[in-house]
Amino acid sequence: MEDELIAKKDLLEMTGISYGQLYRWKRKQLIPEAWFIRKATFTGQETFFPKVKILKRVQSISEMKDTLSLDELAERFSPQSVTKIVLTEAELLDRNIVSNVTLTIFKEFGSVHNRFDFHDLLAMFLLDHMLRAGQMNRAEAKDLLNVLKESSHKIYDKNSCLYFIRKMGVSMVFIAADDVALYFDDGVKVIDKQLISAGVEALKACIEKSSRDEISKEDVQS
Amino acid sequence: MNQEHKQNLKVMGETQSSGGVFDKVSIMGECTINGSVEANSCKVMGECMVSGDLSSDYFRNMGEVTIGGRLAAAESRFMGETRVKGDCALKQASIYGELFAERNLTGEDLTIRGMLHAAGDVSLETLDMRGGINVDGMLNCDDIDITLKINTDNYVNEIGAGRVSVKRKHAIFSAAPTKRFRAETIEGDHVSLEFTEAKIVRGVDVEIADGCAIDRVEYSGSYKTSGHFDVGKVVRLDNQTN
Repeated sequence: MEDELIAKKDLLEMTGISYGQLYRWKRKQLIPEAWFIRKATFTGQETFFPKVKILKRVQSISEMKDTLSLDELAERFSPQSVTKIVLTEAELLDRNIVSNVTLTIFKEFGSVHNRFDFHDLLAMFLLDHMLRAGQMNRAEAKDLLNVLKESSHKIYDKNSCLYFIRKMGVSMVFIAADDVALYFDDGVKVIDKQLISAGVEALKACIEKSSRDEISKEDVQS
Repeated sequence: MNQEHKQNLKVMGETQSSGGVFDKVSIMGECTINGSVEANSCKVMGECMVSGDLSSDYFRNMGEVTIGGRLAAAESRFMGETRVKGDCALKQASIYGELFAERNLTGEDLTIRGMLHAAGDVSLETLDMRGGINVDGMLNCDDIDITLKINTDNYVNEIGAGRVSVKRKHAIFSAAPTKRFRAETIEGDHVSLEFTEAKIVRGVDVEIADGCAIDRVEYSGSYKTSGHFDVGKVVRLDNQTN
């Protein structure tokens, strides 16, 4: 679970960015607060970053900063920006974001409306993933939707993790607000564990990709 | 925005209100607001307690204001004493009195002539500080100008910036401050310090001048010194690009 860490000065050296840039990106929330890991070293306090994530992020910011303004970039990376996305039922199925089965279960769960905001989409996306993998049955799907409905808005920006466990045939779904180690007794089987942030990013990528396809399709037709 | 006519809230004397949406709020007496206030302009000359959030395009406090929730203001002048228990979201702000931010403060341009106390992090684009500053978290600001003028405890836990300059004001008539500016770590591309006490200073171009006491300096570009100073260890980091 432990990611490899990189010290701030090594990061600046490797990527060639300056302190000013790094702090500006942090201010604009292009780099999440949770990635700044403070540790005491023999030379005093030092800041470390998860190496793989930060290098990827710095690279994508550097590539895009010439074409997009920092605010637009912030919008793209920010976990909150996604909350503006609203899709209709038809769009969902057309774009193949979730399967019909998932949508039916979701609608049985209680939402009768035809437009889905990002909370709904994320819940469906995560559910879809579990159903497709054959790990979850319909009754358990309700539990999953329930916990996501109750708390998903609180956990977007954190490193939260969704757990699906089962013991002696009794299943349980819960969310840990931070990516921490959990220790269970022997009888517990962790069936699936998903980082919500990863789910958010995957879903965002999925929606963006399908919007792009849509646009290019329209271009071809016109 | 809806164009419907909003009411003004004007208080002279002592009253209680349950908040709401207003055009102009002006309080000249004493007012307790149980709830949140949204206004285009808000001026307080007396005393005001808001239990919820206060958001106003223009906010001016010449008296005493306590806000239980968040404060959001595009343009603000703090001339009296202001206490904010939640986050402060400002744009253009100047402090002539005292501002106590008990959580994080974000803004663009901040001028301090009075005193700022922030218990959380402060993030800004530019900071022009000639009063007193006390930040328990991190001060993240592109351009920091600090002039030590008043003899007070100036402390910032951590500074991250593009450019940092700390200077001591030499006045002809008033005595120069005797307390140093203190920080745990200072990081920036261009760091120029005078009369500063810090554990670590990291930067590309670092200048250490009179009255500094720094435990460790790490630099990758240039290192200049002048006057009497006390620096523990100086390390040059090599291979840095740029």
